Amino acid sequence: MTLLRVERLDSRHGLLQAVRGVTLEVARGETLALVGANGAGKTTLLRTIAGAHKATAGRILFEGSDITAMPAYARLRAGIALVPEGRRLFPDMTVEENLSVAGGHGRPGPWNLNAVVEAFPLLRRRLGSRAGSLSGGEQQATAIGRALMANPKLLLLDEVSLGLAPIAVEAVYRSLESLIAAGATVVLVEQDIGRALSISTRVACMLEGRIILEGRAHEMTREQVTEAYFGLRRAQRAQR
Amino acid sequence: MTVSSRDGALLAGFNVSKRFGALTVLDGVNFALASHEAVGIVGPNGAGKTTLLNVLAGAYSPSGGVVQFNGADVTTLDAARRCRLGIARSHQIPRPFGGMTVFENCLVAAMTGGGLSSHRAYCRCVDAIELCQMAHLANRKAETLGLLDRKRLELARALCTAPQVMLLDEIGGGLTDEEADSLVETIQVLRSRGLAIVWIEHIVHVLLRVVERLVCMDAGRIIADGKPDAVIASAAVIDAYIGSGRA
Amino acid sequence: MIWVTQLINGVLLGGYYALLACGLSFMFGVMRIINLAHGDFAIIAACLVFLVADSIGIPPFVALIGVIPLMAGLGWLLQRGMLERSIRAGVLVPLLTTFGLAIVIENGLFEWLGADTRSLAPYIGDLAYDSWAITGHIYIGSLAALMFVVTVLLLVGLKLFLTGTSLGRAIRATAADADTAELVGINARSVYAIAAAIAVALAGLAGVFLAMRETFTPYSGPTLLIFAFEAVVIGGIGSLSGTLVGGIVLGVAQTFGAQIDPQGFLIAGHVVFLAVLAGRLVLAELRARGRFHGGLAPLDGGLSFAEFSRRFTLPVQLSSLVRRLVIATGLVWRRARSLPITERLHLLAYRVRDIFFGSISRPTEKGDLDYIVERWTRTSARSSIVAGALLVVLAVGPFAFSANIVDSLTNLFIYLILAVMWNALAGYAGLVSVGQQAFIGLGAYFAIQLSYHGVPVYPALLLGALIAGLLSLPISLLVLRLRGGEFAIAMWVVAELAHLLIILDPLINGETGVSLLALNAFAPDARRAYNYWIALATMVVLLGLVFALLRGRFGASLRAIRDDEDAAKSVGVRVLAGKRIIFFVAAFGCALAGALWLATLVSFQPRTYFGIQWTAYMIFMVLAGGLGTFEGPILGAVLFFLIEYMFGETGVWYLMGLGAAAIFFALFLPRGIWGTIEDKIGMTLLPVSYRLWLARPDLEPRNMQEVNEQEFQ
Repeated sequence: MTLLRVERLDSRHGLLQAVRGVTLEVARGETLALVGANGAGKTTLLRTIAGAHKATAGRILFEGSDITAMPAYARLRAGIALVPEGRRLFPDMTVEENLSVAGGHGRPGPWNLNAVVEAFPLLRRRLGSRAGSLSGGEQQATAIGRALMANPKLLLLDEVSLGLAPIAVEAVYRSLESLIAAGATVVLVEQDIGRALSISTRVACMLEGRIILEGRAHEMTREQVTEAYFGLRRAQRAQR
Repeated sequence: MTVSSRDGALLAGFNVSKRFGALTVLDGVNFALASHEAVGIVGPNGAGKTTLLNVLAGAYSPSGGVVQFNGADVTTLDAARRCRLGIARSHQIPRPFGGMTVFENCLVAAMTGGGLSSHRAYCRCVDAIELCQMAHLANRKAETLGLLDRKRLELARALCTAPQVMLLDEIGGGLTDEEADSLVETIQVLRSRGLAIVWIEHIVHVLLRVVERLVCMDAGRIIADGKPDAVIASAAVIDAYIGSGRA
Repeated sequence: MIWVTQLINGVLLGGYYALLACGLSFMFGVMRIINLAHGDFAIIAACLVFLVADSIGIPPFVALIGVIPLMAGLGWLLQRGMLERSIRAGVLVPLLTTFGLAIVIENGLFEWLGADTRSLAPYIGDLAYDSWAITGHIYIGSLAALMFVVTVLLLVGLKLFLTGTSLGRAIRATAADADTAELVGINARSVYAIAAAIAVALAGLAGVFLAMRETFTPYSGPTLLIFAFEAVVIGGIGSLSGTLVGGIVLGVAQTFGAQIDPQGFLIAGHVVFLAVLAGRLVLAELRARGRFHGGLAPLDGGLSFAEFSRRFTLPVQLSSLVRRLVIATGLVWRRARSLPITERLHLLAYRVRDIFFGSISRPTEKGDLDYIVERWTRTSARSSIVAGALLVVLAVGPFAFSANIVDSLTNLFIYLILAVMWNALAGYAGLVSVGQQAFIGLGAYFAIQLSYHGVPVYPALLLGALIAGLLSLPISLLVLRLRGGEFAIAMWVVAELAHLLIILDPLINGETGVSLLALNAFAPDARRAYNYWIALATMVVLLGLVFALLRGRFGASLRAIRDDEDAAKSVGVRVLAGKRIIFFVAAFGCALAGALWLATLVSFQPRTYFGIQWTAYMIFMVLAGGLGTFEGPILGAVLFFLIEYMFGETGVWYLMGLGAAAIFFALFLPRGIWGTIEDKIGMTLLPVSYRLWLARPDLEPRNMQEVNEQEFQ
């Protein structure tokens, strides 16, 4: 059944109309990948769903109820957690503090400090370290763990591979795979098309604020997505 | 990876590094721009593109390496000085002087960066404003402008400083097809006047219509540098930008 | 041995300062707001506890139990009611609103409780003067020791709260990144309100301790604020343990300073503060020096003095003006050879008008006009004529008006100068100074000094002001590298320091002051007339100078600096040099105002000249009139003058009204009266702007007609 439904959503990023009339649905247990070049509106869309950006038009329905007017901190309690682009940990707080901050404000559920450490074993030794001193991969693990501590029903991930060494990305995606296998509903923004296609059940490609391509992951080819990503067809047309 | 000749380069960075605390954003970057050349810079988020621009423009001082302009070492000169020498830049997020009109924004640039006074300054500003299609907005306060017009103002204002090099930072973002077309036209006019351009852009199809050379950056390094078609098709770029496949 | 006692006393005093400072630091750390009313909240608590002890008889330590939560509630109200709105409006507004609030509180307390100095010492029994002997010769006051212990416990407790409790972590998270904090479920608005409550409660506690240590009056707030700010900056902004260190350094400096000289107490504190600030800036400069320098050290961007003088001096601009006039005359005469003399003169007049009022046109090959840059409008031309007529009327003032009116008008002229100067700094360059009174006082001081050394009175006024203005240059080396609230308060400290140093001069006689005796050589009527004319002339010249500056290339650069300093750099503006020039001009102007004030008052009492009320007046005039417009401060000065004329007698209510008005304008009418008018109607009487008219079909016909009139066939 549908967990999240977005209807004709418009959203601004500063003065830019970053999201134009986006409509999509996410069913429980699904993994939706959003791909597209920068400035396409993926991050703004995710943040609008999480409540960090105000929608200028359209609706967001979560579990059937309209949450468009709900402030961000209330949406966390309702079950939507965002792992923001660039991790955005609280740098002067320890890993444990970063995790418990979210835990204290979220929903009850199976995720707690121990569970997070089990899912991301590399954090076990780093619980007392300042978040600002962690490596990229450790920070990403902490950020995902922080979102999980709130026991969300919908997990939003924004560019988790950003700025990470390939090996760290591997680790992160392995953890994601086990989360998804356990039944999590995930929407993730990913610049790496290959990874996006391999981990998701559905893919949506955005360009300049709109969804221009959407479909089941195993039905789409990399070429299709690459073309849509770059708008290359359009460039070729213009050159003729 | 080819690097164009450094001899007679208009603007060049040699072995440029930039560190913010423990984070290395630029790692031994070698970049050269010849006179009248148009170079595009692409790359994934966090690759260091804007940081490289900032170092070339003088907004950041590099942690290592040298920046040269017209053969002279300008590494220790700040942004204002470099602008007066002939390096102009636009900002990724437009930064207009909100309390001043479009014309006044350009005038400040012409009088300080361009070193012109009254009559010549006015001429220059009118030229730039007409070129960027802002004539109908000349007396409007910059803070009332929408995003597209702000981007145009960034361009016009930078033009008024009578530059030899223009550093453009994602000036094509958020444009519709028609707007992108007119932007390309404007930039081509600038090129025909002899301006050299460095252009960071994600909207690759717009970039490809203007630049004759493409540079791709990833993780603080330049990983490809050459003719646009070759760079886009190169394996390294596809790996870094578009992403490697797994199975 | 006495030094050891003093050291210990200094440290204990430092503990108290740390308590005073930590509320300020806390609010800044969480919300980036410098609460200029911080000291006044402390005094509110002191007053409340005093009242309770005095009228009901509840001992202070018990009264604290009720008063501290009350203060917390006040803080909560402050944030939700006023500061929340201010934060969204930019950096300037919180400074201005809290400043207005400070004035309201101080005068409100005065109105309620009177000016008596009070103390809680009588109500705490022996504790007020008990002391313990550590060894044979070293004594420490028990109250001081108690305060120190409480402070340390409180700081430790605060640290534990922030690290150990869920709310504390939420506060730290919100302070680090309010946006992301919302994403992890934290209600940022609530957190801010709670943080404000804590900050004000801490201020309240410090206020009560102050009342136990020594005496206080409703006007003690600002001094507390300065101490708190100094402690925070010395110890490093944003660190709780740093606040303790900063407080101790300040306390020790003050205590040792007091050993040297009774006035040394305050002076030493201010000097150490400025020294630490300077030291930090120098260190930062040295670190950056390796990669960046622009040439001559104090001026940025490689601008040599030669270039500097070439661009900005008045003689240069004048000669260029003359050159243009000569060329224009020659051109018109030659080209219009075929026309009769009257026509040629007519055309010449248009051309001259063009040059002065700047309608520069660019003829195309066909001789048509492509564009016009309009510097002056019809309305402004008309209003200039009106203004000119008004000036002529004013010039005959002493003959036409009564003595009272002449005196009042002289005051108005002085207010006008101050308003225009403060607006030039804050409205055109973005530098909000809460310490311009430094130059008001220094201008008067040097005038007196010169006069006592034999310089004729009226020239002494001018020279004294000039010296004070020149002093601004070394001061600018330090303060101009600060931004926002730091700059504002640093200027205030400079004013306080100047005040203290001046008092040391035996000529000045401490706070009693001295008179400008040389003025007695003139009969009262003559003196009144001279003062009037000199004030009028000074006002006209200064206004003209500032207007000319703002209209030129410099003015455009300034406005760019105000709007976005970094973007200004990116288009080639020499930011530091520009700030320095306007800083000097504003200092010189304020110094002139101070010298003129001296001429009207005749006596120089330091407190009158160095008082913070001048800043209050300037802020009111500029805010009410219109920040960043040229006409605004003029309107504001007239308004202020009228209000003072009508309500000045009501004493504190008048001041409170001013403070409340400042808050109102800052929050609801930020563009001021004239600014709002200008926005709505678009009318400018004294334009500094450039308007571009292009030869297009949609151009207003009148402009093209004017243009055709003056073009030759």
